[in-house]
Parts: sequence; C-alpha cells; structure tokens
Amino acid sequence: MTTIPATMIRLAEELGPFPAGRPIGEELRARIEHELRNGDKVVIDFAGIEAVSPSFADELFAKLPPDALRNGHVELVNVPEGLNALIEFVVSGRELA
Amino acid sequence: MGSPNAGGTVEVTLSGGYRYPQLDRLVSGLQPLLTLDEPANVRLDMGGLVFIGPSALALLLAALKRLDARGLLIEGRIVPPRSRQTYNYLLRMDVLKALRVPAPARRFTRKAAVGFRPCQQITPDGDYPKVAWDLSKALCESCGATDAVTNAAVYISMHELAENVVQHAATPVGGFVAAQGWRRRQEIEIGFVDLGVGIRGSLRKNPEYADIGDDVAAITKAVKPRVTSTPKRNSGIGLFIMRELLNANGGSLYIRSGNGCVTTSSWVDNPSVSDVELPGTVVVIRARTDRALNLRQVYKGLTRYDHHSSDHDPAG
Repeated sequence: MTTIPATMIRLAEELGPFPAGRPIGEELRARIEHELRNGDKVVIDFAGIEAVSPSFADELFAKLPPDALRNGHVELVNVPEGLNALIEFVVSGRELA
Repeated sequence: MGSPNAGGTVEVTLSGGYRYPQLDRLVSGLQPLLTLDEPANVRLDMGGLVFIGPSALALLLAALKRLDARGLLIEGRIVPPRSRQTYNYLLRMDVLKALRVPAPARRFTRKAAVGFRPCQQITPDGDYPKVAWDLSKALCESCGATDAVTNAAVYISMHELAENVVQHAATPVGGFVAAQGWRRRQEIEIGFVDLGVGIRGSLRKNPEYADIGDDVAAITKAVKPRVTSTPKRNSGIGLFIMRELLNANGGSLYIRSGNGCVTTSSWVDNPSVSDVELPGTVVVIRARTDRALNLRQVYKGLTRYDHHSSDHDPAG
C-alpha cells in the first residue's frame, strides 16, 4: 500500500481562534498549493477554531485548484458546526461564476 | 449651518446630539466641508454640542481628514463644547488633532479606561487587522462580553467591514471606525465611514451592475449574496453575512451612501432617499449583547440560499 505524505496544518495554532481576511487566506492557500504540487496531501485541522471570516474562507478554499477538496487532496478535520456550510457556500459560488 | 465667506473661512456649527438616528442631520451640517473644493480656514463651532455617538464621530473625523489630505485645510479653529464631559470626550477621540488645533493649555490625561479606544483610521497600507482586533477587544471589554462566540462575531464583523473600506472605497485617505458599548443598555454600536466612491460608484465597476439606477438600488443590491464590484477577487458575501447576523441578533444594519439609505432590522429593509448627498459610505452595526451574536448559526443558515444567484435571496 502506498502512503501519500500528508502535511498537517493546525489552523488555530497558526492563526488564532478566528482567522479573518484575504491576505492570510491567500498566504495559507499558497502554502497548500505548494504542497499539492509536490504530490502531498494536506490536512487542515480546525480544532480550536471558533469561526472564520467569509473573506478568509473564500480566499483559502474557493480559490483552491478545482477538485482539491472534492478529491480529498485537501482534507478538513474537526470542522465546527456551521463552517462546513460557509465553505460549501463560497466554493459553490466560484464554481458557478 | 455653515458657508464660505470672502475671507476663505468655512464655518460649521454642530449642536445638540448626534446619535446614530441623527446621522443625516450631521451629513447636512458637514456639507460645507464635504463640498469644499478650495483651500480654506475651518471654524468648527461645537459650543452647543452635547453628545456625539461613535458613527457620527467617525463621520466628522473622516470629513476633517479628507480636507487635510486634499490640502484644503489652511488652519482649523474650534469653539469647544460648553459641556466639559463632551469636550473631554472629543479630546480623548483626537478630534482637535484632526483639525490641527493645538492641545489645550490645561493638562489633560488620557486615562487607560477599560473598553475605550479612540476613533481609528483604516488605510490601504495600514494594519487594519490590528485596528479591527484592538477595537473589537475594547468593545467586548466595555460591555462585558468575554465569551468566544461574541468575540468572534464582533472581531470578524469589524475585519470584514475594514477590509471592504480598503478594497472598495478607492480613496487614499481610507476610512474611519469608532465603536461604543453600553453595558446597561446591552448594546454596541460600530460605525465605519469612508468618503470614497460610494456603493453605487463601486458596483458600477462591474459590468453586471452598470445600469444600477440610484443609490438605494445599489445599497439594496450590495447586501445580497454574491454581489461585488470585483467578482474575480471578492465573493460579495461580507455585507450579506452582516445583515444575516444582525437580523438574527435583533440588532440593525444601517447603510448610507450617496443619497440612499437602507436600514435593516428584524428581516425588514427600510429604504429612504435623502436630499443631502454623502460622498462615500457609512455602515453602522448596532447589536444587542443580551442576545446571541453567533456567526456559526448564521453560516449554518447559508444552506437555504440559492448558490446560483443573488436574485434568489429569500430575504428579498
């Protein structure tokens, strides 16, 4: 069985309990895209996150390469109630644009 | 209220109280400053001023700062409020500094009061996340809201609106934000002001909204999901989320831009048209601290909105 290396990003440890804004979303997305290009899987751990801003969610998740989330190349764990709906909302918005 | 005279002095008189419902009266009163297009001395008569709320304060400072940034403020003079309490408040909020009036001779000590911060400027090259953080922390302290849920909602709201100013106002002066909490009334007010292009001017940059007829239509459009002047960069859901959050909370969202004004409360939009134009945008959040201010709950509700189009906003 082949193991795909996975990079773990603990969101709350890196950005605090309520990450907000496009610049930090963009920075984090750039890191994730770099890992994906290297063939690594990325796991984003939401433990300790109370909420994120809509613009952060849009910048980080909606602008990822198509299917990165759907195909499991980027996996989200410990997502608090409500944030899944926000992520779906911003991702679907860009898919239909 | 005020007019330029042959000597090049613009006089503006502010009297009474300027709480958030009186913002239009303040816009009227500040017209001589907002429409000034040549250098002048400014005499600001605040002798009769008894109260100025945070949103009104942000508007006053934005008007003065814009004047200065455009090189139109030769010299500022102030008639201080007769109310000592009001005068001290204006000193703490750095209004004299904005007019470039020297500090008073008598000693004034800025107390490090819990929950107080002066009105803050938001500039494109400034640290607006820090502004949002500091101000939201002070606000939550002032009304005893120490839970993570409320802190998250207040901080994220401030951050979104600050980022809106930076990304859409299109003015090098940026904007101003002021906030106040009333522990007994269990209420907070946050006012963002920029004297930039305004909502209609911003939306019209997107060809999809090029034919928006008036300011009320522009504001009504702007609070719907997925409406933005820059669809490649932005998602157009910041103001929409604010509206949902405040409706659920029992608070209100007030947006004034150009001649238009829309106040949303209890899921009802109340539009109105003013005779007096505001060159820019004012956004006022009023929230109740005795009720939930819960972003996660708002996000959960997103599943009921049509993801395809802003026209399918069930809220109208």
